[in-house]
Amino acid sequence: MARMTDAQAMRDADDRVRASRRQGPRFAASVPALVYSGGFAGPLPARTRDLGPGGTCVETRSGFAYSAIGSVELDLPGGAVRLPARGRWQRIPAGDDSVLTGIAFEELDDTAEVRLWDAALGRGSEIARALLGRGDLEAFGIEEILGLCQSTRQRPVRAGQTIVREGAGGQDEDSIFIVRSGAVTLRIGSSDGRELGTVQLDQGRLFGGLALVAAGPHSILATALTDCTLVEITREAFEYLRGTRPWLALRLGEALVRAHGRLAGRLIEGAAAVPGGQARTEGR
Amino acid sequence: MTSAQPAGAPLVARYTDAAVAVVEARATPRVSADFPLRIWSRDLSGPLDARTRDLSVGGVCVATKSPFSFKSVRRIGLQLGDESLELEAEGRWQSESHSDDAVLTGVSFVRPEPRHVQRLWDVVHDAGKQLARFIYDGSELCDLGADDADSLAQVTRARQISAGRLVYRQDMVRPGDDSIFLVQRGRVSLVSRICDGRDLTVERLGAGGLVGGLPLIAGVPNAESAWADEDSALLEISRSAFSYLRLAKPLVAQRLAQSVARCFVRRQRTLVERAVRGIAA
Repeated sequence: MARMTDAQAMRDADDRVRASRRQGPRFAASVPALVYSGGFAGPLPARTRDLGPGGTCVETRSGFAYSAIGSVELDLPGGAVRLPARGRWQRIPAGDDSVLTGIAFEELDDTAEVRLWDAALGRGSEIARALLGRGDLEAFGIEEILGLCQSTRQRPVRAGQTIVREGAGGQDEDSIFIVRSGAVTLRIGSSDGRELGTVQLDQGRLFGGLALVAAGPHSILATALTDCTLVEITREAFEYLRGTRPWLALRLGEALVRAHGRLAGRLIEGAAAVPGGQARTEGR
Repeated sequence: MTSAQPAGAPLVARYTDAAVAVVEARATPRVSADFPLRIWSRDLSGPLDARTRDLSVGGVCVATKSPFSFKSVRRIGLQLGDESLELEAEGRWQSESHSDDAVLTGVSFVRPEPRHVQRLWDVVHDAGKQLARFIYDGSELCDLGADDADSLAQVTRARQISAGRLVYRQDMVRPGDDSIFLVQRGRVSLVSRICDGRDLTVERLGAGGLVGGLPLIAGVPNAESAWADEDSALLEISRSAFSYLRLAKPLVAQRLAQSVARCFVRRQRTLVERAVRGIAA
């Protein structure tokens, strides 16, 4: 029953500040991009992880001077569009071999803004269609799914790659993940580090995020069983959701708690079926 | 006050009215309180003994051993220590409380005198402060801020459970069993029956322990049964109180849900460990 520490309080305050700076909705989107920076003679190839009318998050193979970004070209439906932009942040997330850079668009003209909105909403609709009525978000209505999609980021993961580590709760490892395609293996550990069992998750299933909805560390090790595409709701995005759509944040928390309960139930059923052994459940 | 929307009114308007009604119904603080009380009803020759479960300046929730015609309530006598407050009153609703064999009745005060309102404010305020301090200093909700603890204290109700009685049963949701409970006094055991029929004790909780609430925060029945090991006093945040928090104080509702979720995750982990290792209760 530990009271919130100063460090936690500062992190929470920092999250709230960052969330409040978030400029509008961001939809998980993988769009080819070129980053034009004062530090390079030519453009740097990149891919978006999310896209909104206010900015984007792009992945690149290596780091670069993000503060020198002057513009970004996005390969949107109907042709490429080059937008004035400024780099805001850069980091290498744990469990990810790409460098992520946050970019804010600046002084967009009406045409560019309309195209961005169309592209972002189009990607949002695609994700919503993929998740609606499926898996752990089955109880969500269209409005809720669309609302949720406005706080998402795409996360491609290669087979065998670690997504969430046991006991981690740091930045980028406390996100909530939804399996959009592929399959993920969760290994559940005991408090003394022993493996209690494994569970496979496929499309529409939720995992991670306990640090956000239950203020506790993960007790799972999540790895990609196949090449996967995940929809990620980062701590920042969840804070944005909490601030702008508190009802939806509660609903997402409900879904995650239910998913955790189902996971525990499957492990217990698996253990009961294999006397003296670990639980191993497959499918779904 | 809002005007009632006709049945054919747009969904949003009807939803908004319902939300406003939930918020307005708890416009004044309503705190857990256990005071002796007497009820005078047109249908009874003498007064009926009862105890309060919560108290506000506008009304009171009372517990009696048996049901009575709540619409006939005309007056109550509230015993606050040495002082007795007699108030004109009207019964509003009545329901059963399964866990303690009590009948709960909601009573509104009718045109209370200003000196009575003042006295009730003082009692409610003092009780709220004490409860907020308990929540903030001595419970599994201690990571909430003082303001949040204060907000929670104002939507609580008292529940007394005798030793050996069930607070709620695993996988069942009856009205009143879906609340969030804080153990104020006594001990409560959480026991889960797993799929092979074994009963595993997940946790034993003393004062400050957080119990139940999964139906409210996740829309599913509780994953374990809760038994009172000894005579216990619980602080209850009911479904209607949680609905009020969601609408009027969403951040408090989120933090409360987070705490309930944290307890649930911890207990599920213990349960899985015990089930997998075959440790029976």
